[in-house]
Amino acid sequence: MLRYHMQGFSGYGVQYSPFFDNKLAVAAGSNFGLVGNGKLYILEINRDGKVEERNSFLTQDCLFDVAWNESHENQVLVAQGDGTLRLFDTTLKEYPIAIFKEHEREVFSCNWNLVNRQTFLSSSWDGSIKIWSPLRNQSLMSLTPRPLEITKMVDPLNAILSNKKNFTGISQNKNCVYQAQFSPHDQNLVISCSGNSYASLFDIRLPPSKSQTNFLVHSGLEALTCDFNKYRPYVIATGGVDNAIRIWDIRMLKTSGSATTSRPTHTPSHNSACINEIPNAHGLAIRKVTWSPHHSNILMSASYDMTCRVWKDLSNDGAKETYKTNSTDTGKGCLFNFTQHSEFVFGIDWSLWGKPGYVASTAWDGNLFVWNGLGY
Amino acid sequence: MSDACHASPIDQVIQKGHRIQNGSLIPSKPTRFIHRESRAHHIDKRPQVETSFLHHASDMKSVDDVAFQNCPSPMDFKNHNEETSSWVPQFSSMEINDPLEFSSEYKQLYTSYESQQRQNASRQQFPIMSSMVRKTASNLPSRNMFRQHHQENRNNSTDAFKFDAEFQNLENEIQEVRYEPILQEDESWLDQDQLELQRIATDIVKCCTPPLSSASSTSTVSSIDSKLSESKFIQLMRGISSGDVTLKKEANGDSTRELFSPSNGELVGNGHIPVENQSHQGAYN
Repeated sequence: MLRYHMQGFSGYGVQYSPFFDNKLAVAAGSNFGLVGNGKLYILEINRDGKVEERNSFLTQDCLFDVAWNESHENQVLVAQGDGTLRLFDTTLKEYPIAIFKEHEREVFSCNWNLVNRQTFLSSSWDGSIKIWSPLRNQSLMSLTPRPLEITKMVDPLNAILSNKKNFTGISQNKNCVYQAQFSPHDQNLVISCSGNSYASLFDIRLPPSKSQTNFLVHSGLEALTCDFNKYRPYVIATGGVDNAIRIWDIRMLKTSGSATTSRPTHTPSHNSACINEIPNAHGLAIRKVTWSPHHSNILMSASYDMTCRVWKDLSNDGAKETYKTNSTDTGKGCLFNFTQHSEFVFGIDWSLWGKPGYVASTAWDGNLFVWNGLGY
Repeated sequence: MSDACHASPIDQVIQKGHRIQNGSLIPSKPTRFIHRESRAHHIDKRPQVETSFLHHASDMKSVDDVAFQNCPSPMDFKNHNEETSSWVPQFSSMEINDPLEFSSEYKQLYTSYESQQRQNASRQQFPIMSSMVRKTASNLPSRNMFRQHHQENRNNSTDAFKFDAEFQNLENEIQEVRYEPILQEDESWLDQDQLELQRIATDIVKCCTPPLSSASSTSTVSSIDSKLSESKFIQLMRGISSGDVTLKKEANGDSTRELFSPSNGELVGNGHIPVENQSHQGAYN
């Protein structure tokens, strides 16, 4: 296990470089990201197995996510708390090479398109997802994954939940789009998850009125993370405040009529797309899930319970469906439990390089750990 | 004289399918009752428990009907008719053997499972709350601007001003109620934003404080509890909750991007370093 400590900063996001096997970018914020500066770290693992800082960029506000430019080995994009996205060149110092400002609130996630490699997206607390080109300062497209009818339908649920002692959740954050991602299989597909407990699947080729399908993923509690499976184009995983990880087959999503517009329903049938579930996967809310780039049935999660866990999706054996679920397994399909972090774990990423199984994780304790999640 | 002549009028009403609830007669389920009664006349096979129980209450032919009769009304009339009420002690001491009932071991396990779920549910909100702290802290300038803008608009319309004044009064009342438990005399100088941060921090601390019953819970939960108790973030939240730490304010009332201790004025956590909002022009290609 390798370790690097970011003195005075808390880690929010980490990503391996798609070009170099020893390079990592970490997005961090001071004072746990509540107030103060942010910092982008460019780290390298040297030949002696030590993690060293190659470059760093101090920012005015906290950084929440990071994404390497898939078509340029020296460029890194960050999502900032002041509503901007900033593109840094790791060979330069101090300032970014481009600033993209349209969001009205904190930008919580950013993701580069793996298929066309010419666009990236961002999701924000302002309730929108924006698609950008690095060549333009204005966004190419703005998506709103929370149609009004969803809010109307979730609100009664919130009213019930709000009667519970201490519950103040969904009404505060229902607009927030915690994460959005391009499909690694189709450059026009985007998945997002929001504080209103819904995941939204967009086909950006379609007109706005018909472009999205929404489905309730975490029982009315906030959906904090989502990810496309790298081998099965129709499979996504989500995690949320209900401490569960759910795996969905988007082919089974209910759509109304001939259009792909979904008017969400609260009938049980709309959950038929859930093909597997890991209930109580963690002791607290799940902040991030990410599928392995080397296996079609292995995924990793990070949580507020300060652990990272590697899971085997028991509904699939790597080649075909098994019709089993993790909830019936004794160990729930958990392959590895990483407990070294001492604060909430926010960022995890699989290494694309070397033996399958190497991962990096970063947490509010300011540590970046590189470890092997498959125990090889 | 027939038995019907001796029965009290109220009893007769009850036998016709009425019951008393909250002091008034309600003609509830008469159809069901009468139907069952008439059906029971044609059924000779009765379970043993019913037979032994019903020897004092010949009008009632099944356990279901007894349950129905056990509504508050017969109890109210035991003084009026001893004959009718004599079955009550028997009824209360009756045990029903349910072959489908779960074993006591299962019930015990389920109770502990439920208590664990309740404990987990109470924890589910604090990740959200941590985001809310960020929300409160990071949006202070914009909120201040909003308030200023709001103030300007109020001057433009008398009606709007009245409405706003009413609204503000209500708002103040709510705030007073909300903050009363945590407000101390020396904290009364905190402004709205600082109070909001304090309230959220208090909620987080409450959520993260392990309940007394957690000692008997699983090792995973206790492991989380021990980590939470050592968490620096939770310690900071405790500090904010108790008023030892709060947002630093500029002289003009705007908040800076720092935390400080009001008691000694010392900076808490990392200080903020201003960073110019500029970029390398023309560096992108």
